[in-house]
This record gives sequence, C-alpha cells and structure tokens, in this order.
Amino acid sequence: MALNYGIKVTRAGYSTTTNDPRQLLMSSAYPMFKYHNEYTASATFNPGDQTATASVTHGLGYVPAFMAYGVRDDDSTNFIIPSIPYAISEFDYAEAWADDDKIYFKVTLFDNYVGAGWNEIKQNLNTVYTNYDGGYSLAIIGNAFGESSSFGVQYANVPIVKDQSIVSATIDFLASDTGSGTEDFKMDIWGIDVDDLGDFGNDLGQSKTTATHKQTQASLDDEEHFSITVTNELEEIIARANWASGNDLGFYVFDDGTSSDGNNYASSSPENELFLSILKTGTLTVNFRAIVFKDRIAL
Amino acid sequence: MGDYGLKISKIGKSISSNNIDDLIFVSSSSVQATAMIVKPPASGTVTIAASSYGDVSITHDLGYIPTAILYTEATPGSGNWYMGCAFTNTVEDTYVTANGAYTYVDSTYFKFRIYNSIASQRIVKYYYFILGESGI
Repeated sequence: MALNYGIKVTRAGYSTTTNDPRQLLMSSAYPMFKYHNEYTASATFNPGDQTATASVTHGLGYVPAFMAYGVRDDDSTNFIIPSIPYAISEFDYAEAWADDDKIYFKVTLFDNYVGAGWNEIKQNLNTVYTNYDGGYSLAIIGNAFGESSSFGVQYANVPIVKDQSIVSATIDFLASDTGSGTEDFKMDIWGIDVDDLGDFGNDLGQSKTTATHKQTQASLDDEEHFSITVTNELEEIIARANWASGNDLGFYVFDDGTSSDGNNYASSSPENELFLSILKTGTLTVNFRAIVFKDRIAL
Repeated sequence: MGDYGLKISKIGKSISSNNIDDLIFVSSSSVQATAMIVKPPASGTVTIAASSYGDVSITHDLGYIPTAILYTEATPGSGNWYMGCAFTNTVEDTYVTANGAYTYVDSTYFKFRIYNSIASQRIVKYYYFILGESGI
C-alpha cells in the first residue's frame, strides 16, 4: 500500500484538509526556496556617469536563484530589480544577473538623462546671432569672405541654482559647414553679464563677464565637433545676485581677428547643433541587496 | 483556545524569538503566504531567429494567477542568468520583454517573449519557478 504522509501547515482559519496551495503556509508536497545568504553592495554615479555597476560573491559554484533590490542614498524607496522604466526613481533600468560565483547589478539613468550623465544638464540653444551677414539662424566663427565673424548664443530656462558648484560647462559646436582654410582658429569667449538674458536680437555688445579666455582650436572638417569651454564664465553668471534657476543666460564667442579669409566654421542649424552641457559636482550612491537561495538554476 | 502552530528557528537562534529574521518558518497568523513552489521548477530552450523574437507558453493550469519567477541565460553559453524581464536591450542583446501584452501570467498560462536583436539565430535557455501564492 502506498503511504501518503508528510507535514502540512495551513494559514490561520483554514482546514488542514485543504488542497489549495493559497491556503497553505507549508506542505511537504511542495518545495520552498532554501535561503543561502543575503548580500549588499553599493555603486556610485560620479558626474557624467550614465551607468553604475556592482557585484557580490555568493561562492556557490553554480548559478543560484536570487532576488535583488536597490535603493538610492538620497531616497528611501526600495525598488525590486529588474525595475521597469517610468515606474520608479530616476533610473531607466536596473537589472541583476548571476553566474556561478557572483550576483551582478547594473543601473542605467532614466530616459530624461540619456545623452547626459549623472549630474549633467544638456540645454538646447534658444536664440543665436552672428555678425556675418546679419544671421539669426547660423553661428559662424573665423573669417568668412574677409569678414571677421563672431556670434552670441542664448540658452533659455537653464535649470541651475545660484552658486551651484560645477565641474565644467561647454558648448558643443557642430561645424556643419567649413571654409577652405586649414589654420588653427582662435576665439575670445565671455559670458553675457546679466541676470536673465532673454532673446538678445542682434546685440553683440551687452555687458561681458570679467571671466574670459582665449581658446585655440585646430582646423576642422565638415561635420566635426569641437567644444567651447565656458566654465568660468558660467560660474560668474550664476553667482550674480539675482540669478535664479530657470533664468536665461548666454555667451559671446568672438573671432580674435587673426583668422585668414576662408578659415571659418559654421553651424547652419545651431538650434540642433550648439548644446550647452553643464556638469555639476556631487555623486549618487545606489545600495543593492540580493537574497540568494541555494536552489540551483540548471538545465 | 490555545495558540498553536509551527515555528522553526535558524541555527543559533532561540525558538522563543519573535524576530522574523531569526526564523526559518513560522505559522503565525500574521504570515499570509510563503514561497511554496507548487509546480516542479522547470527549464527549456527557445530558438529565436535573427532580429526576431520567440514566444514561450507554459501551462500551469492552477485556476488562479500564481507568482512566477523567470531566469534566462540571455547570451547562450555566457553563464550569466538574468532575473525577470527588461524594457530593452540595455545589458544584453537578447532579453525578455517587459511588455505586458507578451509577458504575463494568467490563471492558466505563464507566457513570455524573448527578443533577439542580433543578426544571427540564438538558442536561449530559461528556468522558472511557479509559486503557490496568488500573484494579485
């Protein structure tokens, strides 16, 4: 006669004669996850980072079942991994995986930050003016047809607080059209020294920041990028008494007058080609937890 | 009426402890469910054409919506097993989609879709657990 024996524990209020697993806390008819250990690890986003990773060693020698969780150090909300985009926190994706020795974690920044890293602001150009041919829709630096060409740029609604500590600020310039020259070109750069710039029309003569510098750039081919550094100039603008997050700001980038005719670089669609990138200081740490079971994942 | 039930403590912890972290098992009325694996853990493979997807349908027939835990070896032979699904191929070129139209559990089936974003066929291994408590 086949024997049928074992242990069965029901939830409070349910009969031990039940066969519905939802009414049981334990039955020797069903296995349960066998706890191995719990591990924690941390990963840190430094300025500019888009991903952060960490791992812990379980040392089982085979791939175990596991559950993983995360929590940011500036937030008390624990999230289960994998996390789904748009669901929680500022991370696009948090994923975890196991091999026969370790559990790995990876988090990638939320969509709003893709293209930028942790603590990075990317701002599209709002308005531009270049003195070459009175252009409102292109930016030219250098000498075009014998005319020393300079430009001013304005960025609207910049989300940076007064006196924010920054690592760097740069304007990414895409030279979508270049002249025939092959010399280095030299620029003089200022911030526009006002609290809230607004559209500046064709005015390349507004008050300039004390902070200024020269920058030399090697010649470029069509569709090449270069970065115009504006770190010190930006710091001076956001240190102004009436600067507030969301104000507009701008910069002047002037040809220094030494460029030869034909040595010029133009952005013909600057609203899409002149991004302001600001990298703020500070880090973000994500703490992970993995519950590892002895149950083996195997084929 | 007396208070009775079953309690099992971890090695080195007192059976009189009421700290849940000290216990392996407790049938306290405050415990509403445990992680009983009501279907034998199982594995399989799915062959996915280049730049395509493969659907897997597992019949559990429990009559209610259980909790399912899925692991996949996204890159065959890598030895790296991912838990659950992903929105897109952020870590691996092959992933279980989080799109609820294709990856879900109902009262009869556990279904999931694996996308292969590389230009060659992949044979992806998976392993899953189906737990007794209701998933909703």
